[in-house]
Amino acid sequence: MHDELKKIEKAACDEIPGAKNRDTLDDLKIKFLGRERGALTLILRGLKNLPAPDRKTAGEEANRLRGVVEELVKKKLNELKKTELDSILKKEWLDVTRPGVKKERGSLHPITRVRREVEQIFCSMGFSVVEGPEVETEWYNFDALNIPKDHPARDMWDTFWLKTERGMWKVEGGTGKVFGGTGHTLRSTFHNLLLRTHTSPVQIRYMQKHNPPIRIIAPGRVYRYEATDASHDIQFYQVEGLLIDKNISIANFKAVILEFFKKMFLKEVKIRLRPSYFPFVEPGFEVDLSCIVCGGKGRAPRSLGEGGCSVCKKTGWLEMMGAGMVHPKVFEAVGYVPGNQQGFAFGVGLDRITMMKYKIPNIRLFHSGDLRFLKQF
Amino acid sequence: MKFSYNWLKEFVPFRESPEKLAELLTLRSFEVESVEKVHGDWLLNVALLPNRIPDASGHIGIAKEIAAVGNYKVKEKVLETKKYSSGIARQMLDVQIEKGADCARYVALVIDGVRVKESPEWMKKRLELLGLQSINNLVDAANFIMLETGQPLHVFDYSKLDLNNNENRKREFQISKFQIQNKLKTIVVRRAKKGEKILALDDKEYALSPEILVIADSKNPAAIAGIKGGKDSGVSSETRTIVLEAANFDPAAIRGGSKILGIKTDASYRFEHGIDPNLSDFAMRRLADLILRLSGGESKGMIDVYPKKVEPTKRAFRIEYANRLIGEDIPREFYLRSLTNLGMRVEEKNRSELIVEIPTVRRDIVCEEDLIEEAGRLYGYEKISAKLPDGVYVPSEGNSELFLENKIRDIASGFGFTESYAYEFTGDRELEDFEESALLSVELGNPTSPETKYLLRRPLTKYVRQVSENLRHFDSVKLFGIAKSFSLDHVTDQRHGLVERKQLVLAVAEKGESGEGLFYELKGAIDGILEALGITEHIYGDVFEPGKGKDDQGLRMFHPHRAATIRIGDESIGMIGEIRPAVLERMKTKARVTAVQIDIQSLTRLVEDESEYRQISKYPTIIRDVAVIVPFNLKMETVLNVIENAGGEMLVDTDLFDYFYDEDMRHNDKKSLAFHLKFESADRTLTDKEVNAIMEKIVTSLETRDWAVRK
Repeated sequence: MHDELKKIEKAACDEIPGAKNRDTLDDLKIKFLGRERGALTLILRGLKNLPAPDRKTAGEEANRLRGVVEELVKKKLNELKKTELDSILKKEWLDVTRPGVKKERGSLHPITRVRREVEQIFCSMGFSVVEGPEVETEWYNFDALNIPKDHPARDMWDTFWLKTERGMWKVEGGTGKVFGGTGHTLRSTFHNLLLRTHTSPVQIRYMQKHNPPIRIIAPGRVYRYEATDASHDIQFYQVEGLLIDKNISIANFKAVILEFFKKMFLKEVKIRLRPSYFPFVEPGFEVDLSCIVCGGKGRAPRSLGEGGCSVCKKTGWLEMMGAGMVHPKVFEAVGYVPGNQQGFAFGVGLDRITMMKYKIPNIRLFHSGDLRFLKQF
Repeated sequence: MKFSYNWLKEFVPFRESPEKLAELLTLRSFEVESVEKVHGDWLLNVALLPNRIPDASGHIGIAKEIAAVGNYKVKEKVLETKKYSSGIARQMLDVQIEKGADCARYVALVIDGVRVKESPEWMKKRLELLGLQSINNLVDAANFIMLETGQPLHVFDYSKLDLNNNENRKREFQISKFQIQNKLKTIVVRRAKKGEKILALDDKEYALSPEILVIADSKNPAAIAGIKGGKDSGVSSETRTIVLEAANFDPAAIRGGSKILGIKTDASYRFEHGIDPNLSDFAMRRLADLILRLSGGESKGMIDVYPKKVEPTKRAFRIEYANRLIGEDIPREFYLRSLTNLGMRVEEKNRSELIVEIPTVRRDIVCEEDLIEEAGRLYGYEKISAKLPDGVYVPSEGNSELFLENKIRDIASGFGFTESYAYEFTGDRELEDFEESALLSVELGNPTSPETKYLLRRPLTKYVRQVSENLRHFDSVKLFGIAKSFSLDHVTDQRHGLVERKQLVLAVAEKGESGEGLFYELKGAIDGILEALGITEHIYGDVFEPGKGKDDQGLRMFHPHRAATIRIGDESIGMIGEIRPAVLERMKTKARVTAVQIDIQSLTRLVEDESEYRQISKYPTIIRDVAVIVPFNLKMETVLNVIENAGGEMLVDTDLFDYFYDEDMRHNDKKSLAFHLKFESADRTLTDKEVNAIMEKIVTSLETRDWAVRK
């Protein structure tokens, strides 16, 4: 009996691990453990014919062997399952280099993207974003900004005027609604209307309603009556900035604007202020930014000719904005007490920043509606 | 404005190379746009600031500026001139200013015995360098001194001025016999009379009007004051006696005249920016010196009509305020020195305050801040160290409208729409293309072209056009944008309003699409956007319902059976529709285009910021489907209403999942609608039996309307 068991054990140990597939394993399982004719079953069945002492040892032996065989089968089965699964998965191979299913993705206009960045940077410095109407009165666009009628400074802004045949116009405060009329008696209180030539009128509107301290930016569309070319269009976009408090200085302006440019172009940049003239600021300056392409090194001697930076035209500087300390006449126009406040204002072209950031060569692409252009952003 | 490097050096002994000088001026004064080497000299192209024309539009002015910013001394000796007495000029010429406001000063000088000839080489070269054509020694001298001093000058031929032989005039001016013998002539600064004409030096005849200031003799205009000389009174080769003019005209009058006549000259440009009346006599003496040197002759004397002498003004300069505005502690001594270098007379009122006398040539300096700018730029803006402003940063105010717009942009682009910008202008042709009337359009007074005649009233048209144009390169196009709409709003005949509002526009097109699919795609996009904003109560109504929607007149561009107004309650917030094929044909588009416009301002009021959590039902939901065949033109909404009415409160949601018709059904005017119906109770588990009963009710109510329920 013992020998027989040994034989079975050897056979099982030899055969089961070698099973090629589940069917052979099932056959082997039946061969050894089958209820009817399994080798072990037969042994166990034959136990009752043995003498009592032998029966006990043989029984224990046979049961142990049963455990061993079952374990072998189980192990083999797991092994086979795994291989089978592997081969199924293998058949399920897919080509990871085949393109994914196209998802329609829209995009935002590059100016919108830049405008958002600008807004974010200034908001993080405590500025609020405000807007104003694009059709403005002459007073808001010029007079209140210390650009009186018949002053040659008005030539700095080529203006689209609204037709006056329908009469002069009057603005209803804050509603974005403007009323016009033809009645002669109304003329004195009515104004000429125009398309705002800059976002500066928003300063005036805001100051009329708020007292200092003021920290605002006013992004928006502006218009100029001029011939269009690759860098000029009849409508474009500006951001106006205004910071008013008790002691705001040029030094403060430099710091705020430097922060802005650093965050906008994500690099160390330098700025320089040049004296300039805008009637609504005094002192007034033009702000140059160290060229973001050549890092301000473009200042090659003229004799070098073609070799220099084409973005800054070899000057190392890019003209970025007009700015200055708010003129007392402007404070007077909005009804502030003289001497109670000081601050700076600036205006920066969104188109220009966008064109620089994305290296866009022609301003007119912005209004082309051409998907081949728009899809790139 | 162009300046000669060599010429500037004649007045100030600066050491800077042309490039260095350009840099110095750019950083301290005004931008030098280019430096160009020409025939042993350098041409500096200076972008003179408009408020610095009065003092810096001549070489002497720039030289003084260089002296101030570079710490040099002007060679005073070079600026010396001879003295000219009044002589007998008063007997030869009477100068009158009709209206004091038009002309602050008129200096005239008579020279007899001049010889008109070519200018010397050195002068020709210099004028040429600066872009002026040499004419003869007299005219060139006047131009030369203008370039030197910034004062425009003019030369008249005395013999060509009309004689004063009018008896009344003689009496009027109490002219003596002696004067008559000396052939007294007159120069009047006056407004032109209606109908007067002048043949100018450019050989063109100009019709004059009372807005235009002229220099006239006793009869006719001899020159357009401050703008252009007259041909008849000009210098010719026979000229022997001349009258030189150095005047100061009212900037507004010159600006007005120059605009009306359409003439801009070196002289008018300077005058319209205003120049210093105290400059006239200096410029006149420089000119007389030069002419006597170049052409010989003899001065008959100078006449100076200057009724109200302009005196320098004084301004207080508070050092503490200057430092506070600049943001840097600049020593008092610096302020004292720099203001003095700029030609100001500075008194020390006390330790903290200066009294500054501003030379009249600096017409740009009016207030204390102007003086601070002068000192600041001389100090050097680059030396001011950047300091962030003090004080607590108050969190910025949110802007709900912008927040909304940004959200809309994000959702729309997420739905596959690309944002596009459009011009805010339109013209008659575009309006006609879209069958839009110009009645409510805002018209421009000075359009740049017929395409900018009006402000855009319906931005949707621009996007429809952009979408069609893109079809040349793409099979499918989805654009959106937020644009301004400008329109007139008639209040009464006498009063009308102008309304400026923001609109959201979406437009889609796809080659080979029937249009039906596009409509529902766009409608889905709008529903998605509105839902994300918390707006669900909007409805789509028929366009041509009489009396609804004020904006009917724009609807001609839409397909009559594929358009709807979008409303919330009684308020119309927008329109959606397929563009009428005839309109698309005009744009050469074969594909269908569908577009929607939504008024952003209306949305702002309706948006719900706060959404609240709703309890999820503890009891299971039972879903049943129902499919019904209805007449083709019956609105889905009508069917839904029937179902919902019959379904009662247990029917919590309905969802159209199939909208179907085949050719056969279309022919028979039928379509099939299939709905998922969701039943739920808030307080118990519904049984099949209960739901079956409700379903039966629904089916019955559908069938009583003769709609076949598919079973």
